[in-house]
Amino acid sequence: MNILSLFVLVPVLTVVGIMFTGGLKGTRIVAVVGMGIQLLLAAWLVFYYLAVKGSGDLNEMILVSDYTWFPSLNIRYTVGVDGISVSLIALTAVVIFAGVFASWGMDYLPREFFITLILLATGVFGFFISLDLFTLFLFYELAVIPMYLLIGIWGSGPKEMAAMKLTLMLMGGSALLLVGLLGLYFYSAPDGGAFTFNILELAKVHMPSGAQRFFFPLTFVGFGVLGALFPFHTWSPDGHASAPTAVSMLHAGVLMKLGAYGCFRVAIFLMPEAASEMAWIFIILTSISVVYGAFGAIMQKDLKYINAYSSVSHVGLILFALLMMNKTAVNGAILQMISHGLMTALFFALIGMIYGRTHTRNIYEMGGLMKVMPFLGVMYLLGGLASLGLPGFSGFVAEMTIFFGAFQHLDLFHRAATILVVSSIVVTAVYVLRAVGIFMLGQIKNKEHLKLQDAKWHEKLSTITLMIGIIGIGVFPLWLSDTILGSLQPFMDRLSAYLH
Amino acid sequence: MMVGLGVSGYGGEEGLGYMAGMFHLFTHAMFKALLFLTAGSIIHAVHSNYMQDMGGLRKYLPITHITFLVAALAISGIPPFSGFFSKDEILAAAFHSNKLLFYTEYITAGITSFYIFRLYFTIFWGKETRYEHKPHEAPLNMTIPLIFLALASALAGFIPFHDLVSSDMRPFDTNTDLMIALPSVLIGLLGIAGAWILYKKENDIPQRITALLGGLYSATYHKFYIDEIYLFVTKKILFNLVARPIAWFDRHIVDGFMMGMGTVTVKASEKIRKLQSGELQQYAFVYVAGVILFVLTFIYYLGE
Repeated sequence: MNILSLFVLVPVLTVVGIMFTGGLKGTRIVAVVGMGIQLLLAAWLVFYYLAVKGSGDLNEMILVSDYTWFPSLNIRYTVGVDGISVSLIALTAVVIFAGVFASWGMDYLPREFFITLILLATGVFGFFISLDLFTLFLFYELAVIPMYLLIGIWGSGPKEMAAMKLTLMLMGGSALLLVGLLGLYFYSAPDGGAFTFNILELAKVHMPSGAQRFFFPLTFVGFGVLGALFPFHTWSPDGHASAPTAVSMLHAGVLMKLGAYGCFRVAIFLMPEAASEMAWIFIILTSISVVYGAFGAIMQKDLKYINAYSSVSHVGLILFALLMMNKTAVNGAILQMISHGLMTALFFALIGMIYGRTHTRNIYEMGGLMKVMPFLGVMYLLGGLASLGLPGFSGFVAEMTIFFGAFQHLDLFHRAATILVVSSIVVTAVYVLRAVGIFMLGQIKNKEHLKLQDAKWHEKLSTITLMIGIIGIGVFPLWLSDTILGSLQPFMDRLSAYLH
Repeated sequence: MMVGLGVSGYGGEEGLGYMAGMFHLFTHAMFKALLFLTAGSIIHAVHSNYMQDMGGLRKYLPITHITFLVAALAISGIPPFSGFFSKDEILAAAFHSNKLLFYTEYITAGITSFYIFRLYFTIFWGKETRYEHKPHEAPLNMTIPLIFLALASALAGFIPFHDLVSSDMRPFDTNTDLMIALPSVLIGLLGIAGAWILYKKENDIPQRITALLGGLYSATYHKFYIDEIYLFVTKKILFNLVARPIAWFDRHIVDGFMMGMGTVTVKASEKIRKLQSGELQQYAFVYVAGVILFVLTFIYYLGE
């Protein structure tokens, strides 16, 4: 039994455990225990990874294991992790743990809610440990489908429409992606022999550049839809606005990173020639994502819309950095995945808590909330400052690394795109501070709001867990960035081998 | 403005300007911090930020009054307060490198002493304001920092900065040049005298000057409209002309296209649905028609 499979097994067992409970109380205890074990497991994995690397292990992936699944098609269950997937697994474990506490008071069908939520997390964990494209795709779909139920049943506002829109758009992406993955599969054995879905095997094969040119855009856009690549991002505002709190957290926090991780691990890593040839198209699109998402957020009235557009902007920055294809920028991209995952999960958790009290997300119907709920207010403000890249928070570390990396390109095109993207920081400051100014500061607009309570213990636990991550990375960025850098070498080697 | 004065010295000859700039930043920290703290003490006493609510405060706030005066003298460059020494070195550096800068700094020094003493006379002298609550001196935890900073503002000028800061680790050889220092002090005193005449006792000279200056006064009063320009750029241009259209474009064009695809799919399937109606006669008709079509096609091609 491979230890990595526990990351899929524990959530599955938690789901089974929840099936035997009744009521909210039993359900959430099982969920907390399950996800607590998962968090400990993730922490252990981080330390184990650092220890193994510290002892001089030079393998690209550790804890690799391989089972044949469908021998006739050579589909395998192959798992293994490197520094990048270890950090993302840790992120997912933190966000789902905080997410369970954020849905502490889920009163409508709690059992079904937690089952679906944890099933979604199973998909995410499975995705990050997979080394076989088929398994990877399977877990990817497993992460996307529960979203439909979660939004459609437990959502708010026009939830059926939002759920349908989100699922259909992501499915559209999956369709493109599937073609791309099959392309990789059928070009995996140029000298005859068995085809393979294994990423490590595929990395040894040189796919013909003509085929790369065809399959790269399909794969990149396929994953990019989940990463809210312009113009395929419109599921994000509606989907996030309608989704229940924990789902928004998990979706913006982790699921959008699935897209970015896939773009990196599959599209760019396996098809580097086409990636570098076509990068300019996607650099234009992601630059638009970054700036356009930020401007889109400025005029929104709904808190969730603000943060959904903000996610479009921040995840756009991840894809932008990946396309810069140098070590510093890609390192920044992975840092931004972790940083944005924590930040946006914090935002959506806080918005859910505020909405649960005021029953509105319209910033113009609130005001002066800092006075009645100082804890939530301060947390929101800190999250906002992290989001606009204040030093001391994770956002600064990630964004600075990205901009350093992007600016290493000397040509006019990359420089111009980078300067454009950097300007989005100012816009970010505008929309963050505007929202805080309107709904947190000033006079209390609604007399009813005077009676509201500040955060309860489980809400504090949820937000503090995330805040520790944000400040931890902000103050001690090197252990994370070194973990990532150590795993970027194969990527860089492959790029330089095929591009020069 | 005073920091601008300090920074402008950077270019001075052989690092003299640099040293003078650092020196001035140092003394500036003392008296400007003191000015802000006294402002706090005054606001604490009269519960207002506006100068029209103040006047004659020297009787109620003796410690604040004296420490404010020290800071004002230091910022005006009156010897032996710290501002005099640092400003003098900047002026000396500017004199040797850039004459335009030098004269600008002279004028600025005059304006500085005028505005700071306008503040001083209006707040601590001027009209006899009737206060609803009798203003009282701030408690010890506020006056002790005032006194400490006042001492620093008074004495910091005697620190031998030219020995401590230099580009090549060797001390500068500086001495006060009377030809530079004397006019500078006189200009400072001139500014103070101007403020004395206009603001020591309440009178209508300021109003008459205001009327005389007209547009220049109102431009100054509105800080040359720089805030208005910023607000115009953010609110009118960025918010209304960039962000709002982008938000609209996103909802109606980009998302509209995606929603449109969904609508078209639904509409198309409504049409296609009718093909599978369950009516046997219709199926039979399509079947026979198809067979005839195929047969005709075959005959046509095989007959060639």
